[in-house]
Amino acid sequence: MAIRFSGNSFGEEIMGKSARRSSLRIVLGVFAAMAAASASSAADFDAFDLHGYGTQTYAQTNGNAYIDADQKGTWDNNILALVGTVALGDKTKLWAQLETSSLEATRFSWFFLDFQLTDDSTVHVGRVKFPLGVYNETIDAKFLQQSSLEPAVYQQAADFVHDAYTGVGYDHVQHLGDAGKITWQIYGGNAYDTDPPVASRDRRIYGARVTYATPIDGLRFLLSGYRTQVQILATDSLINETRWIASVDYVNSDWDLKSEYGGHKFGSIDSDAYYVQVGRTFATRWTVFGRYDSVIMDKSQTSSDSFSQKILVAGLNFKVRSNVSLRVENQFNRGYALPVASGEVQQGLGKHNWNLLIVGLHFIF
Amino acid sequence: MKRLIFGLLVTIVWSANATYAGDFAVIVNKANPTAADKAAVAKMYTGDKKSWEDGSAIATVDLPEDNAVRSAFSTEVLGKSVANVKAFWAQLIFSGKGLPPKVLASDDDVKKFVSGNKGAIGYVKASAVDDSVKVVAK
Repeated sequence: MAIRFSGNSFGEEIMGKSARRSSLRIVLGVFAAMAAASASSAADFDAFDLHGYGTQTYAQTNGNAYIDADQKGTWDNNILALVGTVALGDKTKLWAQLETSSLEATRFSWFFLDFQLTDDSTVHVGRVKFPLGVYNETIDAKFLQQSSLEPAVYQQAADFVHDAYTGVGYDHVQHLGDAGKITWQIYGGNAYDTDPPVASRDRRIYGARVTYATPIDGLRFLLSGYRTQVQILATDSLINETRWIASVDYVNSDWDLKSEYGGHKFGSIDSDAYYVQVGRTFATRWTVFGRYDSVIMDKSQTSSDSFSQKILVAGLNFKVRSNVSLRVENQFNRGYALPVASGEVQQGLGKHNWNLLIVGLHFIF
Repeated sequence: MKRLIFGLLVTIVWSANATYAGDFAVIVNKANPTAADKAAVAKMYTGDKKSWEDGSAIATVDLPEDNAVRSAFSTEVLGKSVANVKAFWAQLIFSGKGLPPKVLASDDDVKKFVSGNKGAIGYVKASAVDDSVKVVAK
C-alpha cells in the first residue's frame, strides 16, 4: 500500500471504527481457521506459515501539505500486515495478506491460490499484486526498501501503478545455464484498488513482466507493463491506458543500486517518471542512501510546477536488529506535481521549493 | 628457519581449510536415493529446485540464524551471508512468491526431522552425523 492521499476519508466513511474492529476479528478468525485446516493436512511438515511486517512513520513538511497531512504539515502512518500461507498439498498453496493502517480500512491486499505446475512454472488465481517494476509487490513492506516514502513512480497520486489485479497469472522460469535465467510472467483480469475512482471503471487488464537475472550475482533487469481499457461512466466511452516500467537492480552485501523509468499513457496524456537510488551499508547495520527522483504528470506541460516534480532524497538507516530498522530521511522537492495530482494542492498555488522530513521504524517477522 | 616458517604456514592453511570444509554435512533421509552436489543444494535452498527426481516436494530446513554452522553453510554453499539470504527470502515472502526453509533449533532436531521425512534435506555439524541420516555433501 503506497502512502495514501485524499480518498482516505472514503474508506473511513464506508467503514467506521467498530466495523473495522469487527472485520479484523473476522479476518483473524479466517487465519485461525486456515491454521486449523492445515493441522489436518496430509503434509509431512508444517503447512501453515505466518509472516508479517509493520511500519510507524512520522513526516513533517514545510509546504504543499499532502499525503493527508494536517494543517501543520505533519502526518503519521502506521501499517501492520500479516502474510499467511496454507499448504493445501505439495504443489498448492493458499496465500493471503491482510493489511491494516491508520489511513485505510483493514483489507486483504492479496488473496490467491498458487499451483506449482513444475519446478519452473506456477499459476496464480485470485487477487494478486501487480508484478510491476522492482517494488510494487512489496511496496508497503518498508523494511525491504531504502526509503520510507517510495519513489514517485510508485506513489498513488502519480497513478503509474494499481494495487492488484483479480484474475489469473502464469510464471515461468527459463534457465540459461551460465548466462543466468529469465522469469516470464503474464496475467489478465480486472484491476483492484483500495480507493477506486468513482467516475470510471477499468476493464480487461492484461500485462506481463520479464526479469533477466544475469550471471553477475545480484544484478537483474526487468521490463514490465500492462494495458487496460478505462470506461468513463458519464459518457460510456472507452479510453486505452498503458503503463510500463523498465528497471535495473543490483544488490550485493554492501550495495543496493536501483534505477527505474516508467511511462503512463492515458488517452492523449503522457506521463513519465524515473529515479536513481543508491544505498551503501557500513558495519552491517548502517546504510546511507540517496535518491534522485523525477515525475512529469503531463509531458506537454513540463515547465509547470503543477505537473513536474524533482525530488532529492538523503537518508540514514540503522538496523536495531536484523529485522528492525530505524530510518531518517529528508526529501528536497522542486515542484509539486504529486500534491496537485492527489487533489490536495491547487494548480499554480503550491510552494516551489519544499522539504519533507520523514522518520520511520520498520520491521518484519 | 625458512622451511620451518613455510611448514607452519602450510599447516595453518591446511588446518583452516580442513576445519572449514568439514564444518558441516548436508544430510537427507536414508530412503532418498538422490546424490546432490553443492550447486544442487544451493538451488534447493534458494527455491530454484522444488522437487526431487521422483516429483516429491523438497523440504529444506535451516538452523537458527545465529548458529555458526548455518553461517558456514550459507557462505560456502549459497555464497551469501545469513543476512543477505534472509533479505532474499523476505522479498519472496512479501511478494507471495516463496517461503524460506523451516528453522529448527539444533542439530538433533534437524536429524530427527530429516530422518522422519523422506523429502527432507538439512545440514548439521559434521561431527553430529549419525546413522539415522545419509550424507550427500560435505
